[in-house]
Amino acid sequence: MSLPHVIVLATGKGGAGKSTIARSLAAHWLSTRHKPAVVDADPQASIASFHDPEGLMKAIALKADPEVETVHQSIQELSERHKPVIVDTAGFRNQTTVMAAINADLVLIPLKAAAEDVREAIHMYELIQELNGTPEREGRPIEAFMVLTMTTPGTVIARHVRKELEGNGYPLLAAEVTQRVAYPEFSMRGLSPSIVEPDGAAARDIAALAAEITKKFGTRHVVKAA
Amino acid sequence: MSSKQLESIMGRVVKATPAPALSVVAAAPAPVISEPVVEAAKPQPEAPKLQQVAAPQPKAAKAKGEGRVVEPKTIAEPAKAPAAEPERAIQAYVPVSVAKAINIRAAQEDATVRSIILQGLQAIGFEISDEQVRDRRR
Repeated sequence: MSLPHVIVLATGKGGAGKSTIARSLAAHWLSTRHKPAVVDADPQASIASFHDPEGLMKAIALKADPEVETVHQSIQELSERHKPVIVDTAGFRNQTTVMAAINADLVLIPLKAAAEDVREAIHMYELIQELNGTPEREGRPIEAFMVLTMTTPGTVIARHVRKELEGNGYPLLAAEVTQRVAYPEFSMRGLSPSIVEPDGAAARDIAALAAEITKKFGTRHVVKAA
Repeated sequence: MSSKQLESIMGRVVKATPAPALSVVAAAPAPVISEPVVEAAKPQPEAPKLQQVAAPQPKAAKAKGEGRVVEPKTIAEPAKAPAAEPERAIQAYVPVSVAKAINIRAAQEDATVRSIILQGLQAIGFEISDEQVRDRRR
């Protein structure tokens, strides 16, 4: 098992759950005694604007940097003392996201079970493959996983989207971030389920997602190293 | 230093934050005084032509015929900057179709993209002299 050092949440579709997952994963890894940091590279600053530097998640280092010229440096600086560094990005195709992705070990692509989300998720996945063809990533490709968000378990549309993506070879994680009120409730105070309700259903979802990320990333990493 | 491939990918998407130069233009479409207030006693070499204007007095003071004496202030004349005024590059993202249309117009008129854009700004009221619009290749 291996934890990716730099994880970038990216998709050109707004409202897919990037900020929620970024904050939630950071909270999860904080609760499991890691030293996470967050780079808020979204000009809307969804995470930075609600972060309480004196609150329960004060141990998470946070830097707001949506600028393409400096986001690379922000990631590198935080990487020296923190792991993982989680980067939240804007909900549209932009240069800062590309720059963050070129510096990532893993790009996590969230998508709701909806046509627009699927289209943008596929576009982002193809962009990552294109970035892997650049000299910057020669010999050390960026991993990319998709994750379904805001799902209602058992619905036909969620099953259909999963079947289509998996059938076409896209790396969709088995873990899903299901629709739960805990996320918006806690985010208003800059908090996350793993910190406030560590035994709750939302925290379990995030823990399952984190475990699968670590397992799959570690497996691929070991195979490539061998 | 980014590779050509990465630069090509970057060129297909927009900046996450608006460029400062673009926002200045959008926020202030009216003619801009480049040097708002300068000291009359300190003429600068090659400074823009200056004119004397009286600063407005408060209405209450005017009505009573009293109040503090307001010294005339010197401001830079907004029109017609000297030809030797230094230039600065600005960058703005525009639709691809607009960029193509500007290039086509420039080719058809044997003009530069710069002069085409300056003509447009001149047409909507920016204080730009014909000399500044002129194609400098000629």
